[in-house]
Amino acid sequence: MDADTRDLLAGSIRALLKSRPGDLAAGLAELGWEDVVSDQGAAAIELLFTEQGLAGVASAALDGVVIAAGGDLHLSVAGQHVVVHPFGSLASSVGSGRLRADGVALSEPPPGACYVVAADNCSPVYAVPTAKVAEATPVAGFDPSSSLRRVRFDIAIDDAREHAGEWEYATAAARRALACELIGNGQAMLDIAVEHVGQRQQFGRPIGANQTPRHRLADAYTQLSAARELVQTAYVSDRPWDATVAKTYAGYAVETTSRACLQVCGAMGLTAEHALGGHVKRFRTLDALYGGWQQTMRALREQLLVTRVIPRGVGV
Amino acid sequence: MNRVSLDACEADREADRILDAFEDALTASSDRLRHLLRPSVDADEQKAISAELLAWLYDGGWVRWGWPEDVGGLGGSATVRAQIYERLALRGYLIPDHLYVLEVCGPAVVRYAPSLAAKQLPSALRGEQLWCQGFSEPDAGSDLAALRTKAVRDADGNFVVSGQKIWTSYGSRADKVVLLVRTGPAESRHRGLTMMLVDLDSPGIERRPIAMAGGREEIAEIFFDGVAVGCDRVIGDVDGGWAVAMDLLQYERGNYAWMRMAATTSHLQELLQSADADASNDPLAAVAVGRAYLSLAALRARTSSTLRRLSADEVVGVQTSVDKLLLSAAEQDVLDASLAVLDTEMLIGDDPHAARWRDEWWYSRASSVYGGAREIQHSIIADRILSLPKESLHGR
Repeated sequence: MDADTRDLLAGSIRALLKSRPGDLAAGLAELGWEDVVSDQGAAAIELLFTEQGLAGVASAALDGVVIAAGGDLHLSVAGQHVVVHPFGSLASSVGSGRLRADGVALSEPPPGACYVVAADNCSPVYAVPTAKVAEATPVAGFDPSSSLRRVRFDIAIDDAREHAGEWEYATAAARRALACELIGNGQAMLDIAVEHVGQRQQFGRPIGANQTPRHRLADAYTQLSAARELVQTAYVSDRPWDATVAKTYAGYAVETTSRACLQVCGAMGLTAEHALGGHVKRFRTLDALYGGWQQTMRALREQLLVTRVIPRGVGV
Repeated sequence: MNRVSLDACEADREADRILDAFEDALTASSDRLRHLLRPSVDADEQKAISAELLAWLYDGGWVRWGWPEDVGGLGGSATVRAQIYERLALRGYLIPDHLYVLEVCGPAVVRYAPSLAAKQLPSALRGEQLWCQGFSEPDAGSDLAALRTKAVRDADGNFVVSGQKIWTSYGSRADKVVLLVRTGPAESRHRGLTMMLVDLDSPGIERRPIAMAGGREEIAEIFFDGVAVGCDRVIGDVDGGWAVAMDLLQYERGNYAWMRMAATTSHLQELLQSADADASNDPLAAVAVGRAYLSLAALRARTSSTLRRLSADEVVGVQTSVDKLLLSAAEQDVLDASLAVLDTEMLIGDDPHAARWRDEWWYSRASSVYGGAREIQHSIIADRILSLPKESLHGR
């Protein structure tokens, strides 16, 4: 994507996120988003999720990413589907003729919609009419603004329609998009903290003239920069492993950033009035989707210790 | 697909072809090169191993990609030879010491002193000359612009150098030094500096190795007492040495960081292979390995992007502070993982294998000190990227 197109598109997305935060899907449709994605590919997804992270706005755009990357899922899905996303340690499973779903939905299913569920985090993928199961419960929790819904049901497998699906690739696409959103989220926190330490005076000078806050924020900047490079690598290689690495590192980098920013913004950063808290809450949700960074890091190291080989990096 | 990306695809395929041919050549020569795989704790022996491997790499053309033809290169992209170093390291060979210096200083010599480069670089690239880098002084470490080694011009326009350098890697065994000296008045700071290439067998030079805590003597002090240096040895303009040093530092944080990344990846690979079969059940080792891998992956992604920008002749500038910080984090995480995985063997083993791991561990501690300490990199990012308020002179 050339710089002009990027700026133009980023401007439109920013305007949408500001004017219609609760209705992003319709706004994107009016923008001709499907055409943008087919013209610009990954760069468009990257831009949308980074901007979403910067704005601290939640949407169900991730559902579209998962469906588009999930093999045959998009063929039989006509927009009326809501993905049940893995969240933290919540996962769905299949056994003894039953499908036990447990995860989160990012929006309220419209009437007649189906849930899309992958059991045991692998294919096949099941579509389940929402009418057949209990209504999803809206969740406030740590981050009420993310408007999550806990989806939990236990039904006979025969009541679900099976798709071959390519869940590994759907997960990879979700992790790449979430890594972008995490980076936007971390950048938003860093911007807030940089402004705060430049203005807040103590002992007759800005607190940002002291070495410790300067170095902590520089460290956050360093890790966020590395996270951006890992996302690029993951988009270039298209390998699930690289997507997991990118999201794991992004979670780790934003953890560093959120700690540093909360510290240097002091008590002000802990108030409901200050913008930082909203981003901190959103961070915890983004990190937990498709496995928190500590959980995915455990999966990565277990694989390294079993294969005993470091996967070859992508070409320079 | 447009023309540019077609060319880019063609270049990628060409790079893959060269890398595959390199792996094949390495396999075909494995008997001949086997003795170079043996770790050496003796510095003279290590220099000989480095020189022999570099001669093989040069004669095969492998490390000549990306250097201009008049310094013995084959043209093309420097990213090709960078990837050759990575493949070499992952096959268990040490990247030749000679190259760690040449990859940092060489591009600056080519840019700022093309005729000197044509004369001196070919033999250096073939491993016949070991270079080192003479920047730091006893009173000019992180504050490099405070350096005092003086070069005074004589009637013929040549220079006489007097002063002292310290913390010079390979200093006691190198043949030449890329030296930063003061040609302006003492208070001229960065405006009165000049870069030059000096023969270390010149009369008036005395060298003392510095015994390091880990037991190695690879670092030295170099004393200059009225050393004559020809004006044809100047790199860049007289009094223009700071610009050369800043250009060179980009390569220290680009090419050099990439090479260390490759070497450090080979260390982690070796750790994975030497870990007990049930290491995945040892939470201590597993956590350390996971953390080390993640830091390395971040470093590799970042340095590959820096390498691409450097080889496209972009000025990377202050952004390279990010690379330097990621490098020291990755090296320290991997070598701390070696303590977790190899455990007691690394502490009480007296075989060369254990000694080498201890060496590497000490070297990883230096990683956040040399070439601009971690604190300096943080300050550069705080000042020049984040534009935070400047620190007060008295600190806090």
